[in-house]
Amino acid sequence: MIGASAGLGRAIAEALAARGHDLFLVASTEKDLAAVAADLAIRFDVQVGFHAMDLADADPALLQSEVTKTLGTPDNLFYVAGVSFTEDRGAIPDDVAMRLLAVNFTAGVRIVNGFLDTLADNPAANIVGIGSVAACRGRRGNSVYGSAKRGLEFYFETLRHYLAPHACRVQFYRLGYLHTRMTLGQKLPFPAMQPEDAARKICDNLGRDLGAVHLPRWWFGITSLLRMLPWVIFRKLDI
Amino acid sequence: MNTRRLSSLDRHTKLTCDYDRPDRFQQLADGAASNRFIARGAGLSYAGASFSENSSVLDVSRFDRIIDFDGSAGWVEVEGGVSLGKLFEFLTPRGFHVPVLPGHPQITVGGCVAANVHGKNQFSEGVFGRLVQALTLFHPDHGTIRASAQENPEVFDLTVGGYGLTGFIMSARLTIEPLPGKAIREERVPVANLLEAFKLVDRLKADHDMIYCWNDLARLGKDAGRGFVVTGKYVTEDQAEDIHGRSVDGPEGSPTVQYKRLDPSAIKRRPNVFSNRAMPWVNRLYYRMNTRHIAPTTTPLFKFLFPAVGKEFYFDYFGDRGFIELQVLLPAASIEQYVAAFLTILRRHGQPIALATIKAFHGTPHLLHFNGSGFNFTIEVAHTPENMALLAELDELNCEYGGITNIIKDSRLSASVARRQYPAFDAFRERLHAYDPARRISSSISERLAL
Repeated sequence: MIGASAGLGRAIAEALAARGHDLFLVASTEKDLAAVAADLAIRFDVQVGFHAMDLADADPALLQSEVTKTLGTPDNLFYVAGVSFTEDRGAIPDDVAMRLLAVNFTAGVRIVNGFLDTLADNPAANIVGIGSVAACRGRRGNSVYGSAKRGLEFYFETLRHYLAPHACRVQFYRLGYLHTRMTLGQKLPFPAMQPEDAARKICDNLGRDLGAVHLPRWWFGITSLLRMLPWVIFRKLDI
Repeated sequence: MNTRRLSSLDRHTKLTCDYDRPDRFQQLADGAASNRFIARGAGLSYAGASFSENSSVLDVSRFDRIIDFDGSAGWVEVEGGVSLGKLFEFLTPRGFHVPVLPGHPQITVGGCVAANVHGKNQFSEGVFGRLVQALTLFHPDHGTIRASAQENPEVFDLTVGGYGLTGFIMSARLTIEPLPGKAIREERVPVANLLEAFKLVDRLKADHDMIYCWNDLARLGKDAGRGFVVTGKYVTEDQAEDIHGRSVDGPEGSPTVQYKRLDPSAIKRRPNVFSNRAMPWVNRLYYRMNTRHIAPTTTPLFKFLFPAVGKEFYFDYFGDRGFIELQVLLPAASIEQYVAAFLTILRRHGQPIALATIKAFHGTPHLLHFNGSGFNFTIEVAHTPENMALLAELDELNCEYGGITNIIKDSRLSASVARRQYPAFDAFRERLHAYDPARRISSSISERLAL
């Protein structure tokens, strides 16, 4: 579980632990991870390992060796990590752009790539990626974030195609609003989902050849509408 | 930081506050470094313990992890944001319990430590602070501190029952005990008036694990304070099946922990059901409903321990004006005279009381802890100018009879009354200032009481 210390990642980790899965958690801060890992191990009597890693400087080989050492060969890989910044609009500092790209896209590609051979022919395996409805159409706000998430979605599309003759299944979620710290206090134009509800649906879908879907599904209508908007109208929207 | 309109449970204190809900340790530290702050758990204190318009309110509900557990040694270490419901869900199937629990499962362990709360068994189990073996505290000026009776005892002493004014309670190691039974054998005994209720609670407490009394003070005739004493005794699985012929919640079963979340800060229309005219009829109905069948029943543990569950509507029924709770700990020796004086004042004011309860207490007063020996007597009244005058007079009565008012329950308690009632009021304040000269942590309670 990459991005496991808070929000959706933590909720999925809990849902998996409740279903009896042993877990290996990855996030940036050891203190947060240690607390989540202890809680899940104690409450659900499962084995939980963890490794603190800054995804901007990810080391897939080290991660693979840590996972194997702790739990053996994994069945599922979840890339839930994501980061966004309010200043992600127009020209932004290079280090901010690099971080957005690394956490939302390149680290995901590199980590999945590192585990791909291990997972490909495992009939119990799933690779799950989390994208965003923000990536449905390029716009002023969240420009690098949206681009990175679109890149991640494209990579998962290729993964699904590559793995079609293999046993491993691929699921990718274009996630709508979630009740997390990121959306706290914001006046959102559409309802937000509880991370626990999203986590339950994601876990229910394990084993399915799902491809890329919206979560919740009704976001499909909204993103479709946005994509179909003629440019003369879309260019005037301040979104 | 966002702003949010926050309300105390009694809806007497409503403030617009800077609000954040960090979900990582660094975010919590950053939030505390920037300004004055106060930690917020479930936000269910009757008074404004977890917010102030002068502080950043840092909601610690995401810090709700169980981080260590040793059943054989009898302790569990949990983060401050762990709710009692989550703890119940974890401990009950493992055959353990936290023997001191206040009335709603949403309340957090951090809140229980900060307010040093009590349950329905204070006379035998004491207050929550008794269970706290050690704490991990975070204060931006002191960093992370491990505190117990042996390690940093001054900080430990100030934090247990310190109303959250010493820092974030990051974790607490709590004593847990084997669960004595898997259900509660509940009995109700009607009482004719208020004085009889005090006497019966005193008499029955020795034979029961838990006890409280509900009294009807909405009518102020000869039978003012009539009601019923509720007693509870843990029963074993065999006894439970004997009584009901069916299994009940317990260590072997799946505990019932589903409950409606209580959010006094939620913006919604609230009907004013407890008008002065309606209150006597509401109470009469409640009395009848609870005394019609008084045969012993077996009640699931969760339901008995958290009686507010399923009755959340009650807190809404005072309308947007809210209510005030006055909870006072009275010495047993002068209870007869107190009851007479209390009823005289009540009759003179002529204001109906929405709810009155009695519990038995046994303990030693310390700092600002609501602890000591005698009776815990609670009344709730609608927030009206007439009732504020009544409560002011009752404050004087309580001072006269050596009562102490529960700070966490009363959102209008003044610093002068608290100082008269708590002999260690100034000592606590001085020690708090010595620990935190900048007084970085501030709540509506601490500001009202000038702590």
